[in-house]
Amino acid sequence: MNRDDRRGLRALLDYGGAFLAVLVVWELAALAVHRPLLPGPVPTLAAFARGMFTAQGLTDGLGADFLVSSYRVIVSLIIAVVLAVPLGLWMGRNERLDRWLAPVVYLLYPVPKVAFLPVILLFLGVYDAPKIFLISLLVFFQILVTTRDAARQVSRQSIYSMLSLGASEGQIYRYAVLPACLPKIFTSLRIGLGTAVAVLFLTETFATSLGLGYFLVDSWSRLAYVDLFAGVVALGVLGFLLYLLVEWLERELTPWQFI
Amino acid sequence: MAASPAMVEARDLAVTYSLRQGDVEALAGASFSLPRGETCAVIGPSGCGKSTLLYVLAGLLRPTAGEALVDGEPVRPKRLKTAIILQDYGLFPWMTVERNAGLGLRLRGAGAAREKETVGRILGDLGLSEFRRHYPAQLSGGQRQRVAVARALAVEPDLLLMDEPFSSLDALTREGLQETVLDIWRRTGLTVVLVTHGIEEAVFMGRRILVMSARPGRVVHTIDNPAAGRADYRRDPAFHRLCTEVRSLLPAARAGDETGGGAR
Repeated sequence: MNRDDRRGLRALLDYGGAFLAVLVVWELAALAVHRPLLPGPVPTLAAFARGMFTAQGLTDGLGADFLVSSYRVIVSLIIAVVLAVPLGLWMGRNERLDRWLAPVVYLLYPVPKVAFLPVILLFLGVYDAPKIFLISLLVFFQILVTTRDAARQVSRQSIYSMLSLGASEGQIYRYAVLPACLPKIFTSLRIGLGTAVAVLFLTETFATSLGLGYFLVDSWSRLAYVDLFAGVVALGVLGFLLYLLVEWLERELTPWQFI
Repeated sequence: MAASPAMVEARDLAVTYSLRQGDVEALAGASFSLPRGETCAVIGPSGCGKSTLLYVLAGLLRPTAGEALVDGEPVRPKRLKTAIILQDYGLFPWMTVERNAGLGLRLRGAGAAREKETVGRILGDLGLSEFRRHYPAQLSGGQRQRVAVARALAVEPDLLLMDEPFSSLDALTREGLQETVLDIWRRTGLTVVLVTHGIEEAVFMGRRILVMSARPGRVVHTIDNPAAGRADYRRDPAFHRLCTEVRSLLPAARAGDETGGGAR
């Protein structure tokens, strides 16, 4: 067994242990409360499995909502990264641009963008667009601010090194600035991921009939508590899978951090 | 412009940095010239503008006044036959040894085959072949410095500028690398300018030694040292005599000098 396999096995055991611990606490809590409000893990996970892994669930139940929500979050994250990373790198490297844009960014950054949800719904309708727009907007600012700060910290020496080897401006970005910022970009993406799932839930509770947020609100109004908890589990699984995806990407793209 | 016989020529170079705390005069009228194929050591007290001088010669910094010529032409930032090795080696932690060493060639669009061939040969010469897939963080200080040397040599320069390249190495590693660089100089005949704060390093490496004044820096003494470059020079009594002489020429360090300067 090589080092990577051992590390993988170790992670599996760690996550497995944590999962079991959560189940035990949950079961004990359910036994103590002993009301339909808090179903135990066994009926909940059964409902989760029925919703996620049956044809019926995937076309018209929890699985369908899971897929829609995944699509919204992933597209939002991609849009946020594609827009925020180049702009952040550019701002960090270009003082004139930064002097104009930084005040705007720092003014808008703390504004709670979710408050604009009603307006966004009016402008963009009730389908995927308003959700993707709002999630992208929030995550965009988180990644932009981190990337810009990281790009400003790229050492003068490494820029000099590149220049002395005859690098063009584009090559400086590609070979020096972007790789220097990647670890911090990944950290901001991981934080942005948490934000994205939380905001996803919020956007899906309004004026929609698809997605995990809707599934939760709908179960709640039907007093279907087992379904409600299965939905919460699905939301957790979505966040966890995305987290694993980001972790895997980070290992692939920044191998020098894992030596 | 008429071709000058000098490889490097500095005429009254002055550099003033504008900092928030006010202007700092780093160089004030530094002049010297260096024939092609020579080695030159620049020595001076802390913060005397030695590194600034090197940045000007590399075209990374525009002088406030004066003129610098390399190979008879005013310096430009992208003179492709000038290579510089910076104080912290300027290696990129995200590139393996072979990627770091081949960076200059890659930036010039040299093609994968030529890069592989050149880098393979140079890493072999420098004893780094088995480390070519390593990252800089996995190497010792001396090995990293060798990678920096490899990267500079890969672009086949005719002028090699080094900014205190061996200052953070232990004595044995440092001597080994000094000999490596001299060996390369003997083989290729490139022109070497080395900035150092080590008196012995300056005397061992520099066939011409420039002694600089305290800030703002000027060249106050030029010493010809034709015996430098000989492998056994370190054991020669003349070597020690010259070290003593250089020491007496250096401006005495004043209390507090060590706290101010940017370059050690």
